[in-house]
This record gives sequence, C-alpha cells and structure tokens, in this order.
Amino acid sequence: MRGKTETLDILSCVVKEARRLGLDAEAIWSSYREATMRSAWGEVHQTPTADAGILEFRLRRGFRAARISVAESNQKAISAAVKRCSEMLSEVPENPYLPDLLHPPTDFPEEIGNLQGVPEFPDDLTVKERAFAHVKRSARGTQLVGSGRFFTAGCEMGVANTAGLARYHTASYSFLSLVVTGAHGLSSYADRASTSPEGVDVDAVIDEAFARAARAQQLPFFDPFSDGKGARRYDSVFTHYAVGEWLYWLSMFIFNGLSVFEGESFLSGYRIGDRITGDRFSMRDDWTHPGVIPLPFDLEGATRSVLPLVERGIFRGIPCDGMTAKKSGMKSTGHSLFGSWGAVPFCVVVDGGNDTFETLVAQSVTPTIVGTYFNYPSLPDLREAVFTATTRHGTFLVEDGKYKAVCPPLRLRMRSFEALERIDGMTPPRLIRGQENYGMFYPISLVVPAMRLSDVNFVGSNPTI
Amino acid sequence: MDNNIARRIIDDVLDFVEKHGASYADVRLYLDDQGESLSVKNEVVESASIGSESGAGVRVLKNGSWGFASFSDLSRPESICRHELFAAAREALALAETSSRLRSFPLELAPLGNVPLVANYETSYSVDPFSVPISEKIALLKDACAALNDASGKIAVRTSELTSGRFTKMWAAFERGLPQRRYITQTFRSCAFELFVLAIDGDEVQERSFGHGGIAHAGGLEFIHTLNVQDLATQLRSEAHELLTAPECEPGMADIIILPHHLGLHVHETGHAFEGDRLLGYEQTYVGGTFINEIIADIGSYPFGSEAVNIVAEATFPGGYGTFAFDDEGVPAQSFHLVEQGIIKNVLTSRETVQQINRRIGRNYFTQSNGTMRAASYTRMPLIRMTNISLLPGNVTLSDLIGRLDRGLLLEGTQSWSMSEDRKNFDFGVQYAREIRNGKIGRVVRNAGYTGNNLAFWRSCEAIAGENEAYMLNVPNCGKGMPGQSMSTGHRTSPALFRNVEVFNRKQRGGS
Repeated sequence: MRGKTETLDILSCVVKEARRLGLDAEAIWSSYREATMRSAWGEVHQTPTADAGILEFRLRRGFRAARISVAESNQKAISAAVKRCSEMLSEVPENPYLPDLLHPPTDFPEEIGNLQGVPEFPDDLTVKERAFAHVKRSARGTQLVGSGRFFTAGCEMGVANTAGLARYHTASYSFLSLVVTGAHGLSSYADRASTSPEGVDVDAVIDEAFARAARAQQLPFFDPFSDGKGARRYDSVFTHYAVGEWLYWLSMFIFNGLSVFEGESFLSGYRIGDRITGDRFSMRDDWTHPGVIPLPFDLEGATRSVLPLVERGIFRGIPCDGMTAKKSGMKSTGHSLFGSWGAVPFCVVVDGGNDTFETLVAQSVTPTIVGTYFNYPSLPDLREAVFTATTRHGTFLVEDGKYKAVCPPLRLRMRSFEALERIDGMTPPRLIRGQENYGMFYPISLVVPAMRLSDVNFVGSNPTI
Repeated sequence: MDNNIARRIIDDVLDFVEKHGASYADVRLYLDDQGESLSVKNEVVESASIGSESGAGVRVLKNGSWGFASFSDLSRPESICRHELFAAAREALALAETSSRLRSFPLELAPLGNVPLVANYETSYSVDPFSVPISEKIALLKDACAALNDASGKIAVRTSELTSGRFTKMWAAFERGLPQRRYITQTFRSCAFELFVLAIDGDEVQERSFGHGGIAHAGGLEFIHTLNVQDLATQLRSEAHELLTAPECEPGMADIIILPHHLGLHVHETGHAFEGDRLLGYEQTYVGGTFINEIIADIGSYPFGSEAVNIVAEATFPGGYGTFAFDDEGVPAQSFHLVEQGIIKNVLTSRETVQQINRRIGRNYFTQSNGTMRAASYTRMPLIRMTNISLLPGNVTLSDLIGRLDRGLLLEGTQSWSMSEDRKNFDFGVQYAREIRNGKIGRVVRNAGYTGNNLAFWRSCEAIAGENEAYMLNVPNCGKGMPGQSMSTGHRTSPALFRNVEVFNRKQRGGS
C-alpha cells in the first residue's frame, strides 16, 4: 500500500495527463495487503500473502468514455495507459447515461478520525500461530478436529477526477473462522471479526464451534426426510451466520438499485412506502455503524449515504449509482461499483430483538429446525425473491424447547419476503463480515440478528450414502 | 520485463531459497496479462474497457510446509523487481517455517516422472482479438443487441458483450534431489460472446441467455465467425416471448433431457466433488468437502453412475478453458477418466495430495499427480482445479432420446444453481423447458427447476447423445479457495437423458 500522499499523487498523475490531452478523467486507486493462514483437519496447509494495487480510470470526452485498468503506477506507465485509453476513446460511441463528474464534496469532511492511516499488522503471524495452536489444544482428547482460516487485510482506496475531487480512505479487517468436524463427519462453525488480528476474539470462536460440535456428537442422528414424504414446513431458528448469508444475497440481487430499476427484482413491483415485510423487520445500509468496514465514499467519489431500506416492514429506499441515476431519474446514493453491476448495500444493518439465541430455541413447542449456516445459496427467481440453500455446520431438530437430534444438511426453498413476514423473535444483531475475497478487498459487512421464523419450507435432505 | 532479465532474476531467487533450506520452490511471473471487455446494453455502449497487469508469486516448501508471497508490477526497473522478488522469497520462507510448527507431518511431493526441463506452449488461434479495431467489435455488438429487440416493448433489457483475454506465464522451479531446474512458458488466449435478454410483461419476468458467461472459447476471435449472431439473438428473443405466456412447470417426478448449455454446469458442479484437496479437508473453511470421501476406499469399483456415464478430465482437449500444457507444478496436462462406464476411477490430484489421498484410500492407488494445480493469478497459490471435466458423448442422437419418452421435459439454459457443501445435493433452476409427449417435443413451460441427490442423478442417466451434438461449455468464474480464486474451466457434454428426477417450479408456483 502507498499511503495517502503517494496515492493522491498517482491519481493526480492521471488527472494531469488527461487534462494535457483535453480530456476529463475519473481515476481510482485500490490496493491491499492480505495474509491468510489456513488449516485442514488440524494441519496448517496454506499461508499465502498478497500485496497488489490496481489503477483504474475512465477517460471522457463529452458522452464518450473508455476505461483502462493497470497494475503499474509509475509516471511512464500512467502516461502510456492514458495514451492507450485515449486512442480507444475515439472508437467508442456516446453513452447518454454517463454519470456527471462529481465535484469535491461539501457535505462531508475529507478527514475522518483515524481512518486515513495505512493499517499494518506486524504481529499477525504470531497471533495466528497462537490461535491455531489453541485450536489444536482444544481438539486434544476429543473426537473433534478443527479447520481454521485466519485472514488479515488492509486496503486503501483513492478516487480523483478532473473536476477537482480527490478522496482517500483506508480500512482494515481481521477474520477468524473455524469449522469443527466430528467423527461422524458432521461439522460445526463459528467466526469473529475485528479491525485488527489482536482484536479477534479467538476464545469465543473456539468455544462456540467446539460447543456446537460437542452437542452434535451427543445427540442421536435423525433425517426428517427419511420417510420419503417430500417437502414439509418447520418453524426454524437461524443463527446470525445463516441470516447473514440470506440477507447478503438479498442485498446483492434484490436490493440492487439497477436490478430494481430494470424490473428484475422483487422490489421492482413495489413503490417506496409500500409494505414489503412484517413490521418486525428493519434494514438499512449504514457505513457509520460501529464495527462495519467504513468506506465513506463510492467508486465515483460520491459520499455514501446512510440509507434506510426497510423500516418496520415499509419499503424506504434503494441504493443508486451515477449511471442508474441517469437512467432512472433517481439520485445517486453513493453506492457505485464503477461498473455495470449496479449499486448494492455494502454495510447492511438489521435491527434485532431482545431474545437470546437459547430463548429462541426454547420457544420451540412444535418440531423446529435450528440451522447454523447456509451453504451455496442461490436465488432461483429474483422477481419472487425465492431463496434456496442447504443448511451446514450444525442442523438440529428441537422439540418442546430441547435439542432432540442432529440432522443432515437440509435444503430449504422459500419466498424471502413472505418469510420476513413471519419473524417470531430475534436476538440483538451481531457483526458478520463478508467472507469472499476474489483478488481485491471489498468492504462488505453485515450486522444481523439470529431469527426465529415460522413455517419455513424444507424440500429435501442430504443424507449420507 | 524482458524474458532474459526475468530468467536471470528467477535463477538468483531460486539460488537464494535453496541456500536457505527450501526443498522445493517455484516462481511464477505473469509478464503481460491483457484483457478487453466491451458491453452494449439496450443499444448503448455502456462499457469499453481494457486492462493489463503483471506480477510475480513465489512458493516455497521448507520443513514440509508451504509459504507463499507475491507482488505486482513488473514494469518497474530490474533492480526494484529483483528487490521485490527477493522480499517475497524471504517472506515465503518465513511463512513456511511458521506453518511447519503447526503441522504434525511434513508435506511430501509425489515424484514427477519423465518431464521436460524446458517447454513452451501457446493456445492456438487465428484471429488476435486485440488486433481487430474496437469500432468493428462494437458494431458487431450493437447489431446483436438490436437483433435482440422487437416492437413488443416487452424486451426490457438486452445485452451483448465481448470479452477477450491473453496472458503469459513464466514458471520455473528447483527441487532438492533433481539435478536441474525446469522452465516453462505458457501463453493463454480466450474470447467470450454473451447475449442476454430480460423480458417483462406485467409481473411476469423471464430471462434467456447462452452458456454460463456466454459462448466462450480458448483461442482467438475466429470463433465469432462460426456463429450466426443474428439467428442466436432472434432465438433468445423469441424464446423469452414464449416464456412470458407459457404455462407453469408442474412439480413432480419426471424424465428429463438436459441440453449442453446447462448440462455442462451440472457436470462442473459434480466435478468439484472429485477435487483431491476437498477430499483432504483443505476447503472445509470455505466451499466444503466432498461426498467422494464416503466412497473413496472403493475407488476403482464403486458404481458412481450408470454404465452410460463416462466423465473425463481432459486438459489436452482443444478449445476448453481448462486446456493447458503444464499445471502450476510443472506436471504435464493429462486426459483420464474420473468415471468410466459408471465406475469411479480417479480424483483430481496434486503432488502434495497423492500420498495423503493414498492414506485415505488405504492403498497406493495413485503414484503421481495428474496435473491439476492452477493458480488464478500471481497473487494466489495454486490449488487443485478442474481442467476440462467432460461427459463423454454416447452413440445416440437427441431425436432418439426424445423419442424414448412418453412424458418428459427438455431443459436448457441455467437460471440458478446451488449445491450442498459435499456436492451431493443439487438444485438448479433452468430458463427454458419444453414438454415431451409421446416421443415428440411439445409446448414450452416456464419456471422449471430440478433437484436431487447427485449419485442417484448420475445413476439415472440412461443415454447420452453423440459427438455431433457435443458442446464445450466454458466457465470463466469458478470460485474456490481462500483467499478466493476465480478460475476458468471447460465442460464438454452432449444432450443426456435422466430418468425419474424431481422437478420443481422455481417461482414456487403450483407447489414446492
């Protein structure tokens, strides 16, 4: 990573080169440093690190625009890239939806707290070694084995353009997840996140994952679908992890401003102010919430607004980027991804309740499924917001408020917004961080409660052979 | 960076790690990674972008453990690149030392066999997409996009896209006990053409597209000349219209024929189960394990599918996104059966997993890596990845398959996909389905999906159409690993008939 001065110098170099050619430009510098330690069944097998930066810019002449991304950041390379991109520009037709160049913000201070310093984790290897040794010790004398992933990353992002805008921000992220597997092959899970490796509550991760795995070992095995009778409905209690996976998918695809505008999303059929869920559900995009990865501007340089999405069941808002704003007549909310992917909430905060997780479980008079995690979710239909996934890392049958059996992974398929009408209870929300990182750091965070939902549609199980 | 300079720096770094106790090390340099993406939506060119990238990664095996570090930008002066590569090597050594304290047994690399010391490979092509003027490619896309539209006002979104890529990877390795180092340079090329329509009529919304990320090809732009773009666009548009007014797909058990633009993805998702690292728990903390663990002791005899099912890993098959000459451990590309006449015969291995997998099997089933280790970029360690995992053609025709069914469904076009972590349970939504009645194609039905148990599914495969109806579905974005890696794979299939599969309505209409 380069730090604020060097990053803004790199961006300034693009801006000057563009001006020299009589062009407008918007430039983004993103760089990251990340380090992972990963174990499989108790044995560390990967310790990769990566250090990379990408300079991406869009040159514009009127409504014509062309983009280029390069890993090089020296003056000579930038000049060459600007030249290449400008040559391409003449071949590209006009795009009437090209967003306006943004001017320096007046609505938000440029410097925010301590978020401008480049994060460094000099001791992260020691912290990780200690954590993985702890996992091994915890497994000793049990029939359980732990597989862990401890990820640390710092990222910086700068945005500048020929209208005089120049913004810079950093973020850091540490995340430990642990899968504990029993002799029967069933797994358990826990994770915790923080802004630094030292801040990750390693003990909590280990305690939670091993406790759930021990419970699974003590209970009899029961496959509700072994009777061959097909789909059935259960009241269900889903942990923060499962609720986070579900709402992440809804955020990316259903609350995507472009998807709503184009008519593909469930929300396309509704107007702001319509009721879309039961009144227990409220969700907003809030980068200022404590613990989330706080990126105060989007990739067009627009200030990211704190955006109510659903308030007590009422549809309140949708994220929007510059291009969608031009097409739809809406205003940008500062959620641009600088591409054609639309605008999505990255810092999803859902109001919770006052129940504890065990209280939610104890409310189960009729047979109830407790699900820890959702694996490989999908939305078979965006317009109906149909969600499917299999449960993972601990699926239990509860009856009369007590854990009765451990189940194989179960597949559910449900209309999401109908399910959100049937929230029977919630815990306080907890920070869940986005887990997928495909070559660049995306500041995704979710603050979500565990939920009790009635009448969830389960359609099959995944029995052992 | 000049190749001679690169070679000199690599040699110096390999000297360095060898002197500092590594038993094996490889260096990967991505010298000139080029990409271009053009996108037209509703006749407007929304995106025209190009990109280039360079960087290097160093992987070191010391005390039986891996360490890996990387850096970007090889356009800088030789002295800076040299400094960065040595810094990465030092970091990789330190990471390996730390890891080794957290292992109870050292990783061991399976022997290599007879491999060349120096080799070069390049994807064959005849039209370099980067030499074709952008205006020409945009004109093609605008025409295609216009052909997706009509006067109905119901084709709400229409998109045409063309993406092209080219990258050169220089790989070198030393290994204690081997007399000489090895040097391999490979250049890969790919192109993909994508068409998409979203049709809306009131509350009814339907999509149609081809493939999974378009019609894609490992090679140059010549493939576009084999396509009748106007016909393809017209087909999608008219099918989208049909879907808007089609009756609902009724849930229940059905005999189904799946066409290659979707079947390739089912083979892909099944292929993950054969990854040897998943077998060993390497992916427990992300994408999961594999149900092959439950049957691995019986590899060589266990009935995975029906006798019609032959699934191969064919890294040598031309045109696939999983085609190469050497993997990222320098193991030559191979073609072998994963499933032969229904019997599981192999899993995908790497040098470090061979012995571990043999221990799980309980005998020395594997002797060498079958060459499937690939990294998505210089910032990533190689992982076991699918190559071209294909369902070999049978000897009937699609017409024969249709003629066998009194009642059934013909399924095409992927809408959604979801798998259990062990890849046993699957759930696919499809875009386009037609009924089959009395051996003939009938009316279109909408919102179909199918779900079930993968072993039962492959055992229900009755017949597969022949070579003439085969199609290579190339997947550009297969996710795996943490940190994540997006990899390209290929999947050649022909239409295939499966009996008694659970069909559902993906909008949850008319039942579950």
